[in-house]
Amino acid sequence: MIIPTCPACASDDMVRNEKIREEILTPGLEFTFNEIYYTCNSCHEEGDFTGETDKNYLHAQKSAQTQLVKNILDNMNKAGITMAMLERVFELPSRTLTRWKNGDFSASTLALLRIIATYPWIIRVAENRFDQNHANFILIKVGVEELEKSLHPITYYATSKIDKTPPKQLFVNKPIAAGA
Amino acid sequence: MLLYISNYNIIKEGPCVTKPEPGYRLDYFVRDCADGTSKIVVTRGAMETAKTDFKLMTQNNVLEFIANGGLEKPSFINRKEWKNNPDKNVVIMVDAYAFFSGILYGYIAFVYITKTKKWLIKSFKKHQNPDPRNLIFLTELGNFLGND
Repeated sequence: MIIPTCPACASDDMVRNEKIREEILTPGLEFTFNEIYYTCNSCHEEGDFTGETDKNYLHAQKSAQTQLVKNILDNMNKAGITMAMLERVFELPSRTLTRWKNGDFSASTLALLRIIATYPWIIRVAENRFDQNHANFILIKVGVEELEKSLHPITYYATSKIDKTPPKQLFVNKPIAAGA
Repeated sequence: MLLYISNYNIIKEGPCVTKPEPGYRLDYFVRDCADGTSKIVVTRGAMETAKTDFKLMTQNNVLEFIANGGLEKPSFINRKEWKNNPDKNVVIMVDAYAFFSGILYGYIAFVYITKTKKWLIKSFKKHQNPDPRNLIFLTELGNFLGND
């Protein structure tokens, strides 16, 4: 193992440190990685002077992201949102979501899935070709429903049960209004 | 006063100026960020706050952010001596800037080490001072409450 020289004072008197770090992927998936950093005994500067931490972080992050994509797509499927439907609504080439589920995805994929998981009613907006009038109407409708839920949570869920439309979830413990 | 610019440093000769001025060329710093960690190193402390405050998770994320114009409207704050400098014969100064990134108000401090020919990002975090963009609202609010 080659110990680097300090980039601040060029000293060779460096100590290698290792630490298991926990990180949280947006939104909320925990993962760990091995942090490696060096401390200079001469100027006391600390840092990842060899790039090992970044490499370890990116590797662990990719695994967590793959798991996140799977979780979101599985939860959507459970909520009755099929991959074929999502591909049609968002005008994606067929089998795109299968590729994503198998780990072939980009940062844009994650951005889109995070938006859909947080605001599932965006699917209805997309279904209406992102028409501004429809989008505004759906937004108001969802807003009113959320307001009702926060004002009368018990009545809202009781009514939902009677109507046989249970609140759907894409994330555990995070109710969402999929039937907007 | 005579002012000339060396490779990285702005060198002044003549009467001492009271108004603090940057010691390094910010555009050179931003340009070198595009070359990645071969020229610039982010210290551990700066990396911690870059993660928590700006969601920039790796050194390359930080450097790419800066190289792509991430420091919006940078304004020079001050220039201070690098405290940890082990070589007491040489004075090494750290430049600090405030900047915006969308709604965030940030603070960055960096130094160029001539000996190793590397930049060192000493600090990269949310600015502790209030965002000056909000000052007008705070003044208005203060006036409103004061008049009430």
